[in-house]
Amino acid sequence: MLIKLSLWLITALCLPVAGHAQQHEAAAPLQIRAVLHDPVHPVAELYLADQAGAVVKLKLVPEGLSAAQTTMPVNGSLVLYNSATVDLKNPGASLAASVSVPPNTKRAIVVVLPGPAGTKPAYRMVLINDAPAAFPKGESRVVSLLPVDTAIKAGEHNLPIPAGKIVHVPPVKKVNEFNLAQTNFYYKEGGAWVPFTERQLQYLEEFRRIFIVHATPGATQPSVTTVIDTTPSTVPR
Amino acid sequence: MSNSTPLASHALVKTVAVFSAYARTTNGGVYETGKRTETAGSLNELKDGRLAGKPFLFNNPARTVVSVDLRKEKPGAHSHELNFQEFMSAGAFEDYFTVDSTNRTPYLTGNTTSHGLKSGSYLELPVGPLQTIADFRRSNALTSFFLPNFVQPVANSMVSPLMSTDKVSQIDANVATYAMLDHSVLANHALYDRFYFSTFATSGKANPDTVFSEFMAGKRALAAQAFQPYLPHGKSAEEAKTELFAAGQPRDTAYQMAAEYQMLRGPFNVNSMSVQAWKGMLATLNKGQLVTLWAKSGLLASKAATGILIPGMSLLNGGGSNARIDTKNIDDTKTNEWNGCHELTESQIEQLATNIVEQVRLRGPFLSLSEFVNRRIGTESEMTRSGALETAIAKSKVNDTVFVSQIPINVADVTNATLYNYKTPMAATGNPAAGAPGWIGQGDLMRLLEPAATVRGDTFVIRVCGEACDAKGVVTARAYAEAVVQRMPEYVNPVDRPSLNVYTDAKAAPANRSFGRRINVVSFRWLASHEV
Repeated sequence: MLIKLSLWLITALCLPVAGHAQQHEAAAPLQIRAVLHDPVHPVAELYLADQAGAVVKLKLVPEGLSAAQTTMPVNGSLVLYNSATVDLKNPGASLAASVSVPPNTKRAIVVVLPGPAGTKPAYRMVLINDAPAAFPKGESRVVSLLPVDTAIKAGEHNLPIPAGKIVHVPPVKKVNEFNLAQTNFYYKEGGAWVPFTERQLQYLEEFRRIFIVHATPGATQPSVTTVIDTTPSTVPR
Repeated sequence: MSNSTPLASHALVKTVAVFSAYARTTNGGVYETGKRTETAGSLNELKDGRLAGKPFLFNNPARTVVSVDLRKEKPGAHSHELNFQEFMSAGAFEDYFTVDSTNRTPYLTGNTTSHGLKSGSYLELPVGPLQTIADFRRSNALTSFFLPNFVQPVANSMVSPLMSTDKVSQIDANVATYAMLDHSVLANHALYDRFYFSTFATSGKANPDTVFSEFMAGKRALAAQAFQPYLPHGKSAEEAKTELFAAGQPRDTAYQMAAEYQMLRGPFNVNSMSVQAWKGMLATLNKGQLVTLWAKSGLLASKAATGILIPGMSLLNGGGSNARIDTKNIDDTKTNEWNGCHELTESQIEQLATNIVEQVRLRGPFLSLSEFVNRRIGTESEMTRSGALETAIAKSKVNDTVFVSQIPINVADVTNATLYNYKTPMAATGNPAAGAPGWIGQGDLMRLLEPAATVRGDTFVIRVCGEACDAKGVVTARAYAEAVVQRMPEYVNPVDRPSLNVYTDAKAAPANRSFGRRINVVSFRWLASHEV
């Protein structure tokens, strides 16, 4: 399979990553945890305004989801900057990424993606509602950055993954004695579904996963990057 | 927490990297872009391995001991890759361990689902009885844990990239602390011209002695059908049986004497320059029955081929290259290609035969089968990199239509001295699938030629002319005669057994040392002058 079309393009087209704020509600704080998905340049310095309005560093960690930070949406959008020094008269000059925040969203996981080369802002974002009711522990989400339809088989669930969409995967119950379940991802070739990655994953009630289905620049095959949230509700002592 | 805090006491233990040791794959050294060179702006990952090579020929992981000295030895010399891979995220370890629902993991051709096979034949335990020396080629016979890591030394002839072409024993401190041996040259030299398989072996419910008796009585063909019975003068079949067998099984000395009771029917002189003759030998299995032990289902099945079969193994785990596959039997078409059999067309056989004859002209006459099978030893050239048949196969391009998805290796891909330090990098170039069961190699052709292959005939036509002259020397009578003579197993003096090597045994009769084996006159006739 040759994923010729840039994955970044489809990201821009389909996912809720609009660069302009459309909401004009009363500002409410938003708690975010972020993960940078940029396999080619896995390190970035990004900033956001904290609850008090001070521009602070987004505490990205290389190994996955960052610790929670609270920010104030700007005109209904989550905004990231590329500098700690933001010109208030011209904040667009420092804009690194922005995405509109759906109403009533109090907590979100933010997947930060690089935009197409040479475009501004440099990054795009995908928001996943992080409220316990919206994304309960035990569930998974699949974020497709591909321009073609794919599919996931996770235990008893067989789900299509439309191009550029986020798919909810319910808790996997069909597991073996080690709580492992087969988890395969497929693309379509000549009418047949062809697996491009197969793994046996441990599904526990305390885990949440985000599968990012993507193709790295120039790659001939799609990949899956797994972001796993194992943060316990209470840190054991 | 300090470094001495046990992992169990950490609140959030994370997997940060993996240290792996896995067998080399054919997609090793190929980036995710499908290229063997880095691409600007790409991730340039090497998930199928970072080393380019031909793992079916030169990187044998199926050895009793695998040792790698990371301080001194070059990674490219070895069968396994040792890698330390940092994970990019907390869940990344899940992205590395690929396994399917039947607990199969990809290997041989790659470590990822997209590139790896989940059922593939690398070596085989040949189904018996062995009939040819070439049956050893994919059996792991005569390999060793010493470098170079030959996979199929027997009946094949390619020089290892680790060695110079002018050596069969070489010391190179940059590669190994011991003398490297060209297992292929040495194995072929030790086996060919000296050993063969009589196939006096168990057949169904018949013990070897019964097989022997029925063979001698003309009631049974042996597994190697090229043999016909021969009873030396003064011997009875019963005596021979008693000499060779006890309690139905071969005596310990039987291997030294079995050849006294067999002669070859229709030997083929590999010095032949007849394209037709070579075509005849190579096309022996035209539309033959292809017996497959299917890799996935484990079913044993037989099907007539549509082309000319050149089987890579005695029992394949895939079907013919022209056949449609059933996914109940094997995963997919790609897996079938790696496990199955390459069928050739008549025109491909013609081309192959033509190229073999060209090599025979260049390299012949061969004075021994060892010389025919092995590469030449000398300054690097086509003739010193591989033997006659292997070179002819390459020139005929019969393998160009298979494994087309593989990324060829160029010299530039294996020139990094830190990783490879190859003496003969050309040997590592080409399609990395070389040596797979579906890839035709020299050993596969030897399997067809043996045991009939020989470098000289044992039957000769002798024509003589006799003249009678008068006292003045004038011819008064002239006669022509023709005799067909055949060299027999017995020596001219029957005091020595045919199995005795009279040239090395001090007790051998002097006449036998001087004249060798007996020549029998098979036919004689007078010739008319117009027949001369």
